[in-house]
Amino acid sequence: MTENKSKRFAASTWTRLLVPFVLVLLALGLLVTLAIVILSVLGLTPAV
Amino acid sequence: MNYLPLLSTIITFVFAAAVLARWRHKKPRHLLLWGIGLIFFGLGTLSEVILSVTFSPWVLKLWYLTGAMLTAAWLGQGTIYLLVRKRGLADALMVALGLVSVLAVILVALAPVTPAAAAYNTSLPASEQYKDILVRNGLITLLTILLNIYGTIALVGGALYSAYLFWRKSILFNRMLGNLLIAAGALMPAMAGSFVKAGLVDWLYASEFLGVVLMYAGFMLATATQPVKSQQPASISPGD
Repeated sequence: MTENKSKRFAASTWTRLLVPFVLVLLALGLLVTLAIVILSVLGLTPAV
Repeated sequence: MNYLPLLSTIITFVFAAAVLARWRHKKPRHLLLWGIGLIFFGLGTLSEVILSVTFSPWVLKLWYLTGAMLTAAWLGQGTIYLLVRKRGLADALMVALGLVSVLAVILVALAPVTPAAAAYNTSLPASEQYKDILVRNGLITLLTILLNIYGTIALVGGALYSAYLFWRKSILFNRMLGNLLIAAGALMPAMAGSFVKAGLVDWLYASEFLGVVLMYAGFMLATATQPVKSQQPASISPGD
């Protein structure tokens, strides 16, 4: 408990806004990657 | 010779050594699996270096096996061991991954090479030429896709989940940032590999280099020692 409090950080406005944005951006990147894999399996991409 | 895969190889093996050195202390399984995954990553980029100098069908097979099939899944399995609390589930997935990996080794070793190998151009990336040279049957393709989906979801998803937890609790800023870097770094070669498989733009070498640099930076940041004011252990520890 004490250490968790000692390792807390005061979230600045940047941290509050930027981190969720980056999280969403990376999650979208993950979805796009998986979507491309699935589309390539279905033969809907230029792959031979 | 292409110097980008050479740089990626050096950084990856240094990264793997750092991970395995950390694993030696308490021997947590996730670090061992990350270390093995990074060795696969390094073997993949080393194969690219060799293939940019001379062609060998066995090096091309090693490149495909490590780079396209095993790396993401073994790195992701490390994250599974870190985040999945049900040890039986993680062990079962490990057994499945081990069996699939052995099958992948056998299938790729037995995969025929076409006469197009004679026209291999060392000045072009292997990723632009392997489809005409290495015959991949339906099972190889299926395993490649399954291993990559499993590994990418586990590794990138696990890092994003960990970063989200640290952000929500406003604790361990270094681990939050480290996990974001690991997620971004892991996503780059995964996305580039998907593009190659799909026949889209080929930026595999650059993505491997940027990806391993970001993951290494993220790992160092997440595992950096923080000043401690108390002797109580931390309650959650993704990023160890």
